[in-house]
Amino acid sequence: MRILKGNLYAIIAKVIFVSLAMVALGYFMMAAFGTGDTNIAIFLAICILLLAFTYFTNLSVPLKFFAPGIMFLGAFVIVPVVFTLSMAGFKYQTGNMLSKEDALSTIIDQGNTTDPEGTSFDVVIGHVGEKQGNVGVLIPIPREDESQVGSALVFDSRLGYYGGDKSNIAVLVSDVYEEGSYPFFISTATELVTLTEDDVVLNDDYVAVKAPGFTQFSEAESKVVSDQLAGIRFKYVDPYFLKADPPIRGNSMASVNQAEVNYNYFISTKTEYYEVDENDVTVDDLGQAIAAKNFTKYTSDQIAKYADKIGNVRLKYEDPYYIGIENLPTGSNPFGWAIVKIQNITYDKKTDKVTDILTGATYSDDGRGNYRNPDNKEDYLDPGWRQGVWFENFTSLVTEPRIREPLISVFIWTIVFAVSTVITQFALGLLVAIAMDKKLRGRGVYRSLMILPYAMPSIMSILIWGGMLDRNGAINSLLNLDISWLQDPWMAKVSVLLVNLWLGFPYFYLICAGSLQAIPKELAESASIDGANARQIFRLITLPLLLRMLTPLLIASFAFNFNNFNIVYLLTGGGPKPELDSLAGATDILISYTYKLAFDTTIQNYGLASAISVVIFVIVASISMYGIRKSKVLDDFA
Amino acid sequence: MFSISKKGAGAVVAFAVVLGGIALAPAQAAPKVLTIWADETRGPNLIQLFGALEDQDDGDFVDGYVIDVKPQANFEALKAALDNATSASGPDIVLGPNDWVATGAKNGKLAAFTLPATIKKDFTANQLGDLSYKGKLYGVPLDVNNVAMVRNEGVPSSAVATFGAMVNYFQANKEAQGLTAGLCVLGGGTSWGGLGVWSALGLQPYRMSNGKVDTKLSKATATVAASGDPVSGSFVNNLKALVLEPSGNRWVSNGFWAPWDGAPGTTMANCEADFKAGKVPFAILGNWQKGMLSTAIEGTLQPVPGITAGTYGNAFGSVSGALLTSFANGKGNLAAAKSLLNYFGSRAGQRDYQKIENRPHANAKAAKFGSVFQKGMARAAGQASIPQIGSILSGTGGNAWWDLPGDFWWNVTGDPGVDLTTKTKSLSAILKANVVAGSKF
Repeated sequence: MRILKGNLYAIIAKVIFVSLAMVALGYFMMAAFGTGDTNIAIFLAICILLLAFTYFTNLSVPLKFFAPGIMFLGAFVIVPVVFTLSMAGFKYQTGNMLSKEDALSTIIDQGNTTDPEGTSFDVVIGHVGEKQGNVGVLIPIPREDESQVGSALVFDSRLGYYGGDKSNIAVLVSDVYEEGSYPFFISTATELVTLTEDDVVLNDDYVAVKAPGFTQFSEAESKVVSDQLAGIRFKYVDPYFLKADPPIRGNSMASVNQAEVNYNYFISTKTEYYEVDENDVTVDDLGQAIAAKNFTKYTSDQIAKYADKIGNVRLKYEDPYYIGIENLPTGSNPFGWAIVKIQNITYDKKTDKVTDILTGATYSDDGRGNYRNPDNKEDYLDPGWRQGVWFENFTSLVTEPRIREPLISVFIWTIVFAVSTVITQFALGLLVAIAMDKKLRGRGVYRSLMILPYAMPSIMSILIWGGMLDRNGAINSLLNLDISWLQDPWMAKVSVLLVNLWLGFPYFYLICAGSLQAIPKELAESASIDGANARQIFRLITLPLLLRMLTPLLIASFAFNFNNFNIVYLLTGGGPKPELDSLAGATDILISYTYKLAFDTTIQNYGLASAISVVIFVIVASISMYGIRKSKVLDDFA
Repeated sequence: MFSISKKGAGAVVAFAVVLGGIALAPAQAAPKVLTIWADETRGPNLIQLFGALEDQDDGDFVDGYVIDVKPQANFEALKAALDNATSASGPDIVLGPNDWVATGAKNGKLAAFTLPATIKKDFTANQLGDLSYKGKLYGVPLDVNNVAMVRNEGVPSSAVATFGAMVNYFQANKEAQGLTAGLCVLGGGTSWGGLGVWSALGLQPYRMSNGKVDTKLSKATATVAASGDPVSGSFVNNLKALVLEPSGNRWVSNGFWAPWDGAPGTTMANCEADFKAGKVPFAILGNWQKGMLSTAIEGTLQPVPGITAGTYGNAFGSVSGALLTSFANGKGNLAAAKSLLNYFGSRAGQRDYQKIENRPHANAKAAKFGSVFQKGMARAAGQASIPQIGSILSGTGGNAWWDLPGDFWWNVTGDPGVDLTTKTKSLSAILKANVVAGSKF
């Protein structure tokens, strides 16, 4: 069977274009799979198959024309509608956004806490045995009879040399946080020179950068001597000494270390926690553990490679506790940091219950999207999940007074607003079109001016009108009036209608002007010969024919204005509120009211918003269908 | 006529798909990257701090990692991006305000972590509490967000003791100096930046008691009630005495202050321009607006003075933090992200960052080395700040604090014959309801 026929170039072009489209869809499909959006990925896979069957087979010629439209209809109309419909049946709001599986996983992941003493260690992160992925930590624990200098004792310093001798490596230290005996000093391996603030030059950070006899290394020099730093103990108050890190952007951190600290060493892996003989531990010149028997410290690259494992591993400790690695080594600190934790939240799959072993509280599925403590209804676990609640979101529109009470007045105003807008815009547009249908001087200029409001971005127009309608705005100033255009509920409604008329009439002017041209002149001439006057011709011939042509557009305009969020939100924000505690303002239409209900509050309620959207959809669809049937405008297509 | 077999067509298509797929597939061997999202000011400043991605050496800040900062177009865009982030697209760390914490934790977008004691001790309990939810810490405090009031050049040389003194100064010099208003809010808007004014007059979203929200509210709707009520009993009188005046049967601003430019009774056309032109003696500005200040007035930063000497109008003093996201765990970056948070919290980290960002340091030790401006802002925050509690401020449906003061002013000055007491009672009832609902969040 030959499936590709025709001109060679046409076939090549077709194969290239269709293949490119398929590749693009395939790329998005893979990305969707990667991000876990399986439904989107499946939809894209169906689109790819549809493209292949449509354009590489002869199964259906009409489909070749409709396929792209069907795909876009599916993606941008059907999927959102189905999603909205389905979400209207869920408790889907702040705190209940995840699936139950993800919520439970998060609860378990986060369900740990530190031991009562808050035990933590500086640790060497590495692997035990030959297998690099076998994450473990080497924990040096100072012996009880020794004291360790806290890691908080770290000073800003500058690295250089002292006394003009480049081999006499020194640090210029600024003890600017803890005001001790030596706020500023120069330290070499053999000497400690104390300084006062008057001796040094400080930078913006209050860190000394110059001092007598001290010369800071250049960046290149610093790199050269960096390797030697590990072996230098800079002089400090006995029995302590300083060690300096290689400088980062000129600043070197000098930390206080104790000369003769002895440690007990432990190794912890996923399965074991055991003490290591001191003789089996390798330490560097500064006494820092860097390896142990059967334990190898990770390199920077290995840290990055196994970061996921390191961040999530639970290392053995005294039951029921475990060791978790919180921090990786950083540029200035070769140790990681680990803390002792306990998994206090546990889950029993059989009973679907969560228990906090520290408090003894048990949480069960409350059927409302949360694990809740039955003994204390206020006590529940976060996050919750999306829970199916059938028609609850719909019934709450009627049963909740907070929502129900303003709903009726908002609904009535929405109908009035949409109908009035369509009528006034159509009437003015038609009037202008008829006026411009006559020959008059400068008609082109007038036409251009008429289209301007339509050509300008509506957001800008609305905001400008908002300024002009302010009580101190241009309208009142020019007309010497004192009208609260936007503050008085009735005037605010009038303002919304007027501004919307300004924005929308050019559209109707354009389509009316075009439609008038399409009405045969002979009809008017015949009627005129039969004695009809101009008014009769317009009422009995022109207008009915125009309405016949424009009814679909009028219905579409009604549907658009029913949901015209922009004009209300930008001009009045739905206000003014008749009372401060009113939920809806005087100019709120259903869609802006929905927005306030769903999003203008602490709990963002997507489920409720979806339910109201469905109701709006049903109303608009019903009115539109009624209008279309009544006008029989689609009969011609039958 | 050219024709091709089914097998041939399939081969061509498959070849094209494979080629295209290879061309479009993302590179896999990328270095380990920690991703940070921030707003349009903090983002570029972080890039300046860490360096552009291509210029970074692995491990400068966390072993084996480079740091990719992605600034968003603005604060709202950042919030929207976080709301829509997925496990694949989301950041490891996001810089955001404290009132994102409760929602982020409830939605499972933020992850809790433990801060080392050596870093923790540099922050106040309130700062850490601001970034905690149900006892767990979700971020490290970075900077204090607050506003303070300044006296313009050539106006009172010493600190102003009371709100009334400011009004008197304005009234006395209005004609002679061509003042268009007494006080304008340059930073933070009517409800956030302007809280100091509302609070000085007796209105605020909640009151604090011993570091916690005072929930001992009176049951009556009357405005004079328990000490914890958001609207004080003297609010109406203060309004009439200090910022409003009758105009026919309406209330209008007396010219000293109004929530927005050009409100009835004021002649101020543009707050910022008028202040810079010396036509407004006092202004409230945010700690991100250092550029608006001359050094001459930098030292005059103070909270908005209260009705009586020694008292102040409260201002929001929230902290912004570097928040750990749950996406970090999904991407295997949990430990690395926590390590970077330690840097953010450290004295050196805060000092490096705030040198560029120029907001008051959250870290008390690092704050010691702030500029005059940073110290002034921090001092003002210390004197008068209250925490920003999103769950109360967002209110019940349609009654967010952010709209209420403006709506109140709008209602009070909009219609003739308005009864101030009635309107104030209504406002009080809403605010009490917000406190009750928000405290349960």
